[in-house]
Amino acid sequence: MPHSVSVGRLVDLLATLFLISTFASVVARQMAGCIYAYATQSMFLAAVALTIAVATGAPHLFILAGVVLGVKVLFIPWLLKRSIHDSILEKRELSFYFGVPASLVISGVLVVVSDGFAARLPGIAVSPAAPALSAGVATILIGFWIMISRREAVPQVVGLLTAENGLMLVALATVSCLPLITDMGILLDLVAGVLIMGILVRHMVVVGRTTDTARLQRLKG
Amino acid sequence: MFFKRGMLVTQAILLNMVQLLTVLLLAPLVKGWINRSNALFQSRRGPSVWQPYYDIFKLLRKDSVIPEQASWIFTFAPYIYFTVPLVVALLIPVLTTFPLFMAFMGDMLGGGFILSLGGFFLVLAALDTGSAFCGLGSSRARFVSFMAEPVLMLVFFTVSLVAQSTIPYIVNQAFAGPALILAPSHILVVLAFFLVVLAEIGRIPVDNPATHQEPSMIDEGRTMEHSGRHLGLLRWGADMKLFVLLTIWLNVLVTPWGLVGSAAPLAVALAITALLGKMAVAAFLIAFIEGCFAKLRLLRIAEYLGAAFVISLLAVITYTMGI
Repeated sequence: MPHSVSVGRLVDLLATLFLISTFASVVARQMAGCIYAYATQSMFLAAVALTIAVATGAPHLFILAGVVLGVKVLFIPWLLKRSIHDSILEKRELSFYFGVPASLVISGVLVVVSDGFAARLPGIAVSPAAPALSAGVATILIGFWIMISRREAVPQVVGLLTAENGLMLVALATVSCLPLITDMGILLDLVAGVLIMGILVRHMVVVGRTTDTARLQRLKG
Repeated sequence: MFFKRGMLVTQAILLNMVQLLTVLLLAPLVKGWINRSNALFQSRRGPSVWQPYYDIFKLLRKDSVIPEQASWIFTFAPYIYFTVPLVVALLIPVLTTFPLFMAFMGDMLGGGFILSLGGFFLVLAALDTGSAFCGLGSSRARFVSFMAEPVLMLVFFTVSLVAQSTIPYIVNQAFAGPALILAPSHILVVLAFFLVVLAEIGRIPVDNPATHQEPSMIDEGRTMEHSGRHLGLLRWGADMKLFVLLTIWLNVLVTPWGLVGSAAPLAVALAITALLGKMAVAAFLIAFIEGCFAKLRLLRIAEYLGAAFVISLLAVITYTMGI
């Protein structure tokens, strides 16, 4: 990928901010906080796409940046907030399987692992894409960790979306020439998935007045 | 030759004086700005920005009441607390890009320890009175600062890795170039240091300086038994501590520009103006954070500082991985 040095630096910077917002969703205790952290993270993703678009002049990346902004920064957070009741949205303390300090330490370890991965991957280690790749892989792993460590439905959805954001950053950092149709397909899947999960969460709220997935123990016919 | 050297020495002493006076006289103004911007965020008019000066001068004119059981430490501590930020001000680039003659007396780590000396004496004085609330306040203040210190150290270690030095002036010069200012590890260090600064100066996610309920106080709890002149000195010292920490954050890490390379009076005046401009932005940022967040529960502070610690750890990792 023919990046100039300054563009590489800017992408590094945005990838770092992206990673910091991933950590924000690890520490967020309120549901609204989780959703805002995801929106912020998506905003940095759109900024990365826009930066690479300006640098390479590829028209499809401009479209991608715009679609990411529309779908991930505005639509999905709005949808997630709509799918749960305000009283749950504003609940201050969510329930966790693992506490925040343990999650932070584990996320730190995951960053080290992905840094090592990015540094050892042949062909990538010396390219300017390495920091963004490392941040992307770390975000995928941390997204999975959010899904494991949380008990509430909406933060679990946010974990999945976070992992997907990381995937998109990896794709942008390594092969920015991915055809638009692939990206659009992924985004469409995402919107459909979030819609379905939103409906499920909504049902959980209606039936059980909670979004705690730990209480989903039995299947009822 | 001899005459010229004399001139240089006079100039250096004058510059040091100006630097000290800047910290001494402008510190309450920054506090006033924070209070005023806080009021703006809460849709109030708020007190005048000069209010901290009025408070300090009112307190300095009054007599202080000393508890019967208190020893000499109680009267001694306010003077230490007041002097310590001024000593640190000699070590850091407040106005000039070139090091003043005290600059190599200590590095950033040394400055951090000198600052914590003031807090240490304040805790001793608070315990000296035997008051229950003072004891509560000092135990909490220690709790916060012993979790803040590892982060601070890790931040300084990262800075020394990146800039090859921990002398604030040299770090300032290293970061002033375009190569390092946008590096990922630098951004992480800036963020971690800011989180620690908020904890050290007792602002909102950690402590609420506006509250005066004994069960929730941290920093205010330590000064409960002090009054009059001593309380005035403590307030002024706290304002200077805030000013000094913000100066390190702004002039060394975030915006290492706007300092002057010469000792011309006009240039120095310009540097003071630039510093005040940066401080105004920082005050607004602090007030914005206070407007957005509530004070954390006491045991959640560990998580907050844990997050700061992980961020500074990430900075070390990203740097050593060459990323």
